[in-house]
Amino acid sequence: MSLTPAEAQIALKDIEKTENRTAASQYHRVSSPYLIMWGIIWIIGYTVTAAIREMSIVWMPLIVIGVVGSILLARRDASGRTQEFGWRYGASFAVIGIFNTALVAVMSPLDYNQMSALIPLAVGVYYAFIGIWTKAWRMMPLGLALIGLTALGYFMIPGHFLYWMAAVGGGGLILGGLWMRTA
Amino acid sequence: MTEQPDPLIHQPVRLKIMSALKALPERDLLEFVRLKALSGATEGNLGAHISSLEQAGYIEVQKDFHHNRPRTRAKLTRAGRRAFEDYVAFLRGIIGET
Repeated sequence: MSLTPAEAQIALKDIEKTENRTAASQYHRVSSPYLIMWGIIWIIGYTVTAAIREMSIVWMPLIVIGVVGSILLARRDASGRTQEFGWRYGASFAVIGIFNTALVAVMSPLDYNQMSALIPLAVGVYYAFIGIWTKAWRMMPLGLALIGLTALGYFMIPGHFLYWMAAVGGGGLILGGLWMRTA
Repeated sequence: MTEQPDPLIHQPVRLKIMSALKALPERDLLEFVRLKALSGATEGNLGAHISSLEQAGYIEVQKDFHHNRPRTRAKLTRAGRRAFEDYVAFLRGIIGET
């Protein structure tokens, strides 16, 4: 059996294509349950914040639930890819948390809408970077959509912005998570 | 480097199966349904090729129940990983890459 260089090149390209598709599919699937869980947390957080007009009481326990939930999800499916991806996911969220805390401190005083827009904007940037730098390319349109929809709601319907973020931000994350599952 | 391509791997569907499994972290398994989607093979065709690779000791197949549904998963064995790496080295040798 002999192969020409052109046939060998085609076989190598096929291998690369399949390896990339497999890795992308795995990255997307790993991110799916996290997105769905945080989407639910956003829906609850923004809806309750809109109703009672008190941010810290609502968000502190929800963030704790989200962090604990993320750790449990990572432990539940302790595949090599989850472990590889999970610690980066956690570490990146920690960086975003620090960044947002510093940003809020520097920019204060901020009103409810400004505070509520900051985290989705930062998370949108984070997701877009994941999509650009890793094989999980679907995170890029998800991140850009999050940024665009947050800005749209902030400027177009400031009176109902928190409900907008519950529906579009939280709902968007859930839809994004379901989309990742199809990869 | 081998003189000839491994005939077991040098087949389009089996090459895709091996490539997909090689892309996983070492201890991870890939579900049959996803392997089917990634290889573009029909169910029967995929089953036959998986059997060939399993008999050669290149892949390991695990069957279990997940959420009360039967699940078949596969992963590369150490021998399979080595054979695949030899095959890629063979191809690279042909095009003058080392």
